[in-house]
Amino acid sequence: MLRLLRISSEGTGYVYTNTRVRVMKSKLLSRDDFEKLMKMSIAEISRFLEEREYKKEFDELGRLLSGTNLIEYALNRNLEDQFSSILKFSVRNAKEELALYLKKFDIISIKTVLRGNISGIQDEIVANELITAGSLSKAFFKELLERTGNFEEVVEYLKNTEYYPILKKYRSDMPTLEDELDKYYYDTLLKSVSRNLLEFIKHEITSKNMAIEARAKKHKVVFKKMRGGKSYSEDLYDSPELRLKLRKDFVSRALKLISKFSHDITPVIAYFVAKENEVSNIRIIVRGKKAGLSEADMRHQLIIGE
Amino acid sequence: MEVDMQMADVNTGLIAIGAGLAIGLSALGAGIAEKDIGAAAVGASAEKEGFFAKGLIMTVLPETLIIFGLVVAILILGLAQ
Repeated sequence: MLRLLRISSEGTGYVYTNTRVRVMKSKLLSRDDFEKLMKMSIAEISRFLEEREYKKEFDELGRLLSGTNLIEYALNRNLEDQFSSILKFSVRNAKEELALYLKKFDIISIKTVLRGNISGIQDEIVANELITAGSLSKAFFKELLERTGNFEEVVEYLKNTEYYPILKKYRSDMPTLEDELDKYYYDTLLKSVSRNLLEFIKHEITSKNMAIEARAKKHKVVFKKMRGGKSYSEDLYDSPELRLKLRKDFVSRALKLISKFSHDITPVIAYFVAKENEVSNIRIIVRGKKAGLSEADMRHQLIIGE
Repeated sequence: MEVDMQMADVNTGLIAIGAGLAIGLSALGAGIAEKDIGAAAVGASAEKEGFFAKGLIMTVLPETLIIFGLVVAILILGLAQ
């Protein structure tokens, strides 16, 4: 009887987390909102976003920044806050699996810090670019940036993290180091996710493989596929159109999964993709406005679900 | 005579067990049904307060199962006389 009760209670954590995330999805910007944004000036866009889900971040950063910089950093900060809060309120199995997925942001942040270090970008700018929603905290990266100077010091500072063996092994070759970090992440993830989510992750890997292969072919460099992706037969050559098509396929697949009932974290992962897409759409509009793009050009770049 | 009395007691006992099972199992079923709905309702109303009333109504819907169980239990108990 106890066993029966335990089995029947296993899904409850997913139900709670998934429903809460579905409500959050209803607060994402709609097609009409994006149409309105395209007709606004940068200052009006700031005001519009301030009245929506981005209020907290605009209030925090508004004293230090303004214009497009304020919007860019507020968007990053909002992603970080939302993803961390989802991890915080998720329960039981959902929490463990989400923590594993969110390690993606550890990898992205480590790459950003290393690239910033190589290119000699100011610590403050690097810190604002980071999305620390993974297992390594904002305070950790802040200290890392303050205490380290050169590339070797950054790698040594990460000694107690699970990524250190890879960082140490490939420290002399940055492109391979980046590939190996991605491979490590996806290998760990593929080992522990449910069947439903596995399909989605495989699709994510395939779409990354396709994008990287296209770029490798364009620049005539050797490319090794990441394990776990599906095979594809298209002859790929990097172009803005291809990149847009791959992103559109991936995002539209994710948007369909948010409302699908499942006893795993697929809807939450799909929400992450949808939220990242919203941020990327706002960024396209803001940068497009700054560069003087026409509304039709911006609309072509946007990916908006039904 | 004594044997008849004993048989009557056993029958009454079995009827009581049947009535207990009817209400107990239906309550267990309602509980299993409510746990997911309740979790979802709490999740939804945590994000948007407007969902509280809707969530509450949805959560208590499986309670009807217990009413059916109760009716069946009363009918079974009627056999005892």
